[in-house]
Amino acid sequence: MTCAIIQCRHLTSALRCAIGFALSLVFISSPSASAQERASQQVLHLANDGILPGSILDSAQSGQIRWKSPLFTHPFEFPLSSISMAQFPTRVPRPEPGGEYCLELTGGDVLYGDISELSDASLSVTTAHAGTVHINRSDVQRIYRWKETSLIYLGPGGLDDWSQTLNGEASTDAWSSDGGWPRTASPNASLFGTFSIPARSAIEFELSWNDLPDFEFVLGADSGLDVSGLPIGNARATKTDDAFRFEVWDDTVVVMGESERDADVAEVTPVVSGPGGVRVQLYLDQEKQRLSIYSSNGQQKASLKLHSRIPKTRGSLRLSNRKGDIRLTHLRIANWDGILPRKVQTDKSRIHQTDGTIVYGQITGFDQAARAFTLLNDGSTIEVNAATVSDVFLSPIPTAPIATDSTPDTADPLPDTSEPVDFSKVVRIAYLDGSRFSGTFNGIEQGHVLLSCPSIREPLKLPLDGLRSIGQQLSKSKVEFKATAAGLAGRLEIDGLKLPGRLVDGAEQPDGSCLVWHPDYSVNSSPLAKNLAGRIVYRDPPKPVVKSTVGVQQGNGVAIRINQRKPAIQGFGEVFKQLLTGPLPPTQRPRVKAAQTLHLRSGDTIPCDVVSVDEDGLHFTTPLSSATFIAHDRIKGVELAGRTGSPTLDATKRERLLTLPRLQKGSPPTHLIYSSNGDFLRGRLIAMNEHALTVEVRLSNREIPRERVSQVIWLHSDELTPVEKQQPEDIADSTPGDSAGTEGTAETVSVVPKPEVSAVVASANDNKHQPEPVSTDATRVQTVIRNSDRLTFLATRLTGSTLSGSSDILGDCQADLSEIDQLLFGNYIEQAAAQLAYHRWKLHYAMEPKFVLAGSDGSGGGVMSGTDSPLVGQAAPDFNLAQLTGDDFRLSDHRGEIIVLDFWATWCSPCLQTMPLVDEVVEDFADHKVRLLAVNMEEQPAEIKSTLERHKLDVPVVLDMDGVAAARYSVTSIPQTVVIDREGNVARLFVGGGPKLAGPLRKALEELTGTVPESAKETAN
Amino acid sequence: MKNVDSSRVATFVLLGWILLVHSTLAKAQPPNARIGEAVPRDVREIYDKGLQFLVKSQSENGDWSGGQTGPGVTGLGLMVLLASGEDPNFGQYSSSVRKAVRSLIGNQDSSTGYLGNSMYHHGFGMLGLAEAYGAVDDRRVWTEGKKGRSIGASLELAVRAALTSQKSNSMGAWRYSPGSTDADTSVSGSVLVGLLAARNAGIEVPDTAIDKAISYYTKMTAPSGQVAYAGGIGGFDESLARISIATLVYSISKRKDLPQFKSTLGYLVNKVEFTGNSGFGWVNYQRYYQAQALFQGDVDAWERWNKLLIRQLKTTQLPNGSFPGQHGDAVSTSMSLLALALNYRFLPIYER
Repeated sequence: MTCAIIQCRHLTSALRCAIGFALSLVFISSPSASAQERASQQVLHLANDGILPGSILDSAQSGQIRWKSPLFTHPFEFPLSSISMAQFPTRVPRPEPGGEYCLELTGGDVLYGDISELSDASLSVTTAHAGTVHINRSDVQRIYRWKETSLIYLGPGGLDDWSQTLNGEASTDAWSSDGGWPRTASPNASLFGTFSIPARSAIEFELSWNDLPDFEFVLGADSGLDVSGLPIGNARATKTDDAFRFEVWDDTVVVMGESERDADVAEVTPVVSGPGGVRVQLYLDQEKQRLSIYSSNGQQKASLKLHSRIPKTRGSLRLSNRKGDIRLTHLRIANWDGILPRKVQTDKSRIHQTDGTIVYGQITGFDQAARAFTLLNDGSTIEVNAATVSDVFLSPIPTAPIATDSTPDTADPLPDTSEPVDFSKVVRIAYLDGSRFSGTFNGIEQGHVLLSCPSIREPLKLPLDGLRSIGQQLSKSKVEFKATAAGLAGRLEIDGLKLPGRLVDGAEQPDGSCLVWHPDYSVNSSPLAKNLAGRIVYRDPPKPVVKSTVGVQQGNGVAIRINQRKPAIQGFGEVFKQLLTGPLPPTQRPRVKAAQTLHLRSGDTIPCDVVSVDEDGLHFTTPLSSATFIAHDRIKGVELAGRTGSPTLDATKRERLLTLPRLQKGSPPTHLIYSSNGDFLRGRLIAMNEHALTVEVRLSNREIPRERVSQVIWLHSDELTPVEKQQPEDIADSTPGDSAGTEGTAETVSVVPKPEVSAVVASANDNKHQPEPVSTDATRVQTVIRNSDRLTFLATRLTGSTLSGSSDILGDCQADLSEIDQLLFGNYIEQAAAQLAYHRWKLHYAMEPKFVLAGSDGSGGGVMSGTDSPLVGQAAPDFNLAQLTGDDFRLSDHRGEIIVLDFWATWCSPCLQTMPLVDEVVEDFADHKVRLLAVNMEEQPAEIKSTLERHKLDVPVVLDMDGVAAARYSVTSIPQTVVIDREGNVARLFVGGGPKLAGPLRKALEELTGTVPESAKETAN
Repeated sequence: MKNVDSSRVATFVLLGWILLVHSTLAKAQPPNARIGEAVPRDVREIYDKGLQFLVKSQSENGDWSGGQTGPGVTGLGLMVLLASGEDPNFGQYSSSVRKAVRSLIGNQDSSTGYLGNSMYHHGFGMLGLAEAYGAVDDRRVWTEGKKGRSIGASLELAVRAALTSQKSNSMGAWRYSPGSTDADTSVSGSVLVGLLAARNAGIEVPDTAIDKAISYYTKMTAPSGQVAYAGGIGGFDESLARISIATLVYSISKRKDLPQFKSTLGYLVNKVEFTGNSGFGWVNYQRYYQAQALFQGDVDAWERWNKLLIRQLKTTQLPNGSFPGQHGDAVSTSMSLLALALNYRFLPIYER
């Protein structure tokens, strides 16, 4: 068994290590569409996981990045040390690198270009991004003609290409992007990447860690996705047991493979406490089940072979962290021709040629005119034609250094300069074409990054165009944050944005909101732009609580008790005492006592005493304000008998209760009356006074004693949804025992996903209720306490922690931010409200019957199948009818033809609309023995001729004078179109006409004739 | 199936309320059951707005185009004008009334009496003439240009055409073509109501003709109250339009004694809150008959249903006063307004 030890614990070459081997990525393949979607804009990633879309601005300061987001009125200035990565849009197709050669530098930089000069000290290369530059020869690790290889992937560059799991469940934050390197310290966190790895592939990877690792890196894993497209977790990893993998056994990294017949294993490197890493070159043949492992300088270290009965070719990789930490810092996947590298003298400089031969010697120069490398070997000069070159090794490659977080603290700074390196200014720049540069950031000037790269003699001026990312590897000491602005720490979330920070004092301005945000790390603050939708989270909701009180853990049969939800009783008084002030000073605010609770469509909850309901709306009194009336279209529900929360009902009964029968579409009920003993009544609340409710039920007015009614829920017609659009949660039972009257925490959390997914998921269709008109002099906000008590008002000013404004219902309002859990703003208020328990009581249409969907009466909107009639498949009833021309027509005489019968009458306008359409379709198949016959029902020839002339129709007509043919074909309404195949059987029978008929009729004729007419193709095009 | 299930649920949950609620129905007195009661403001506004649309969209020839065109459409439009309560001879719509009457009479086949297009049109045209007969002054109809037949003569001729068509029909009823041998309950409804209106207006219509047609309807009425479409084919379904037609013809032919009347009316009253919308075609057509059937059969039920009608028409009327419909704005507007016109009860056919 072979052992290969490829480890770097003693870091050298400071800056090179600091900036690492792999900086960002080149996507030669395009792993996922969603990744492209997410990467369609410039996004700034902060060290605190903040995400800020926008664009980078010129900045003269080397230690800062200026960033303008359209979501704010002013640009922010962030210290470079706080930036994890600035990500730029991807392009499809990705640009190809320029030049013939790829140069890999020892620090991880990659340059593509044409070599113009090679001396003892430097290499002159002309690149697309930096122009002609001189690179220290000693820093060039490897040169290869990149077009000779078929690169599949070079990276990694962030998490876009990977799906994540944590403990077998899909996750979005188990891994982080450490300057483009996926990294985790979470146990049981896995990454899956699908790269279309071919059967034979060359894979080079590097993993690093800060302390004792325990990981599993599987080559050729399954896709990582289950049938539903969700990542397969560790629990399912057994599917990849027969794939080769690297993993840690006690204190050793091993490579192993195992099939149903045999197993093979080899040691790769020992691991010890402290930072370390491993970098290897692999040649993987999945068909022959062979894996060869080489050191990065080309020396073979191990080889594994399996003998599985059914070898599998799998295209994915999986990296799982069992404990400790792990980071993927380099990954290069290329096609491989199956020929292993020849044995090589790794301690000598050399040129590998495309035919596999290796020419050793000191490489002394490059003749640009002759396009040849020159080598000195044993005193004689050898020229190697550049066209035959595959790889050039200028000098032996040292044992690969592995970058870790501790690099800056332990490594030797730049060897060739006396200038101390300010690591807070070191960045890594990656281009879409795979080029990578690293060095000291000197600012942004006229759309270019100014960079000093230690391996390159010239200062670089790199264009932003074509950039993929500007990243920085962070050490923990650099990202420590000290708040420089006053205010309560929170997290701003808008679609695509997540930004920890705090609100600072502000007043509504013509061009900006009174919500002024100071992101953590930022030098400055900025008002939010007008008319945004989002939220500020001050306190995350508690972890979801499983609803069932007793659950059974599958597999071991042990019953485990889950925490029961305790009623979260929070009196309105306390809530509004904190939120609202009327004329009283804050210390004298009354504890709000009210018998009833009003729930508005905006999500607001108002403690009140309901006085009455009439045609216009609801009259009430509330200790909160002098307001006394609210219109019906703003109300969602009212709790008349104390605060008991949204009613609960078995999911099936609830679904049926909320289903609107087809024949009631024109008159949907407008209210649900919920009695104290748990009964529901659908109807229309006409009026209510202190004694009784008048409810219209089946168009009769009935009076219900008010004390029998617990709640009334308003059912608004604009909430009605087709049954197919019902979401499972729409019909799910609400959470029992939630005294706040809202859904449980879990549901609410689920509808407010992390901004990188989408800050808001509820579409406008989910709640068509129009929000308040946009105010130009205020920002509409909703305070949320414990995810239940909500108050919406137009905010105009924030002073300290007090947000002030007014509500059109309740008058002046003030909210103390220290008391609230979330502050919603803009249309997000409605989107969040749509998910509340009361708002999920909404009607949906019953499923339409098939005949309506098929449009049999001409009014439906579905597709006509033409196959529902019992006549289909039966022998077509024969008839012998006179034609309008005088000749007879006997159906049975026309076997071998496809006959289309169109039953019609002159008085039938749908028939006259349909006939030309049928004629047109049939005409397209005229060359295939398809014939139309318009069967007129019981009318006189003169009348028929007159109608045909008037409508300019020229179709063959037969006269069903006595209606016999119509009876035989079960004609109950017209138009009816019957297609009879060449064998004389009914192939289709369509009832009804109009444009919907043409498509299915054409399809039927295409099937029967086995052809698609040219005219149809033209139409399709 | 789902709608049926959910209605059962609604019924089920209703049970829990039976003991709680006090029905006001038993002691309710329909507020406008007697002529002279104030017509609700919504009704007046809807009707006036729709009427303006019809007046404006009527052609100089007296008919309406833009969808279905013909004597049936003209007859319906004429009834809307007459039902407005305005004086047909001197009121603000008298010119429109005369134009519509001239159109009907002018297009009538002078030898057969057939009003044209189909027996549907013939029936509705005949109904229009019957409602105009005795109300519209013939001397004012033909003051311009050529003289035409009188309304009475034209109506009599139309009745004769309908009777002739019925005689040749084995079912004793009517279908689209005057010479059809089979029948359907929809076409027959338009003709039979036209005949009954003519008889009410004083034109002689033999009892045997009415009896034969009513007999056809009784055969087409299922014990459940559902009414089949065409004899021998089609079967029964939940067409509230056809159930309403049957109820109406039983009522105005004074055959409320028939068990079929009880079953069709029972069906309608039981589904009084069902507006219908899809699956059985044309909601305006359904409302047109549903209004009359409920009014003639059970005025309390009509009272309840009428609230729903007003609510629906209020929300569906377009800004120009019309109501959209697949057979053209004139037809759907006329039928919608005629359903509403029961609130006025100016038309003789609406008398109970």
